[in-house]
Amino acid sequence: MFNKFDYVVPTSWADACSFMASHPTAMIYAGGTDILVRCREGRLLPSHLVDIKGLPGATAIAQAEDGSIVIGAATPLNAIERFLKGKAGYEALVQAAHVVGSWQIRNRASVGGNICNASPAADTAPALLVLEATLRLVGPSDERILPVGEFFLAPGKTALLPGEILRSIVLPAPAEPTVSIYLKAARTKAVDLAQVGVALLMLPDKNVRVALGAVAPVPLLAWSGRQSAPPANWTTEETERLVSVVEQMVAPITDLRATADYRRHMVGVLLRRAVGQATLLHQERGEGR
Amino acid sequence: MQRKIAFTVNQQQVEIVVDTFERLIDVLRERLDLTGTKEGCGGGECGACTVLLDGESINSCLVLAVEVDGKAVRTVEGLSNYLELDKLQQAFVNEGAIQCGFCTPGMLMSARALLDKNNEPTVAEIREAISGNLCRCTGYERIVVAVSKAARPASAKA
Repeated sequence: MFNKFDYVVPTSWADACSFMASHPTAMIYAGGTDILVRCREGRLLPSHLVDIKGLPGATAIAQAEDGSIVIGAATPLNAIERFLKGKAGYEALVQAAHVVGSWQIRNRASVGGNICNASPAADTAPALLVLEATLRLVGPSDERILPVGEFFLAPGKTALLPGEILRSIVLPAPAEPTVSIYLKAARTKAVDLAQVGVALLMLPDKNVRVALGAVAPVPLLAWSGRQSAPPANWTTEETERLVSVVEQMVAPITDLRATADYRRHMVGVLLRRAVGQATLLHQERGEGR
Repeated sequence: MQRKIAFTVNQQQVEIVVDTFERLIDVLRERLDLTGTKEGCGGGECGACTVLLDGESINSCLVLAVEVDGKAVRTVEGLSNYLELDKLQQAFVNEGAIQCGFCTPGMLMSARALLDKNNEPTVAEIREAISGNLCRCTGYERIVVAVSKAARPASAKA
């Protein structure tokens, strides 16, 4: 079944980091929904699984005094969805968390695992990119804060250094009334990886961000900039200009889930749909004021 | 590498020595003879191995046995009291929500997790709760009807 790995429960983050630094074939273990599948297939042969779920704050999600939201790296996706649901501006992360795997998977699968796998198709990655999340990385001797945009280096490769662990993810408080959307194309409604993922965030000051999954070697912030119209008054021309800019950023591949051409096409389809949903939400919220 | 763990299964205290790389499903089936829980895909796709861990539905093929130390596990064997079926099980029987039966234990546990938190789920919520449980026989319709009838037994309609 699995290789004969040992199971380690560290007593502190520092303890976990020093263990990781001195055991290069050990792996951090949170929800297990990816790691155990890959162990079973023999694609991973860890010497130790280091379970961080019991460490301080690892599975906690809370709003800080400055309005930002701090999410422990091992927090399950269902807990994130429950916490953020109804909080304006965070819709993209709620929607991205919701479309990973199945209900059972989301009771276990963590947001930290989703991004540390560094899959180009990780659903939460585009959402974290448009929300301008920052990552708190703890290492054997110090810790650092990294913007999520600098975390993904290549498929399966992150900016984590030996012995370094993702401890938490911080979402800055979005300016009101921000709206964000995540849309995913997949072969089935549940339990499939994204063929394309599109996250869109529209700020009240006309700034717009678009991030994409599964169309480049890493999750990609494809556009961040000011548009000529506020979100509630977008025209088709505004949308088409954004689509043509974003489409030039992609470099999709053909694999078992979709062809490169289909992926390229779906970027435009999902982005137009996301703009439609976001402008509608902006209008609704504007009227509610 | 082995560890001694203590946890409850269907409210019974269990103490057992497990390998660190042993799965929960194997401990349930092979060591505790709780063979109601089925293994389908072994990779978190089919949901046949679904059990409740501290009340939440999880795939027992993707949980290490060492992780359940100190926790409460509930399997399909814990639904009935051996005198009468859980009303969810009875609803599955009444509504013809079972054909070959292989998915049924996992399906029941996913539905049980839902009803324990929400005793008047919408059809959309029921479909969501069983989205990780594949059934190749029934087409799901009778299962959704059975879950909604178990939720509101007084109502004759789904």
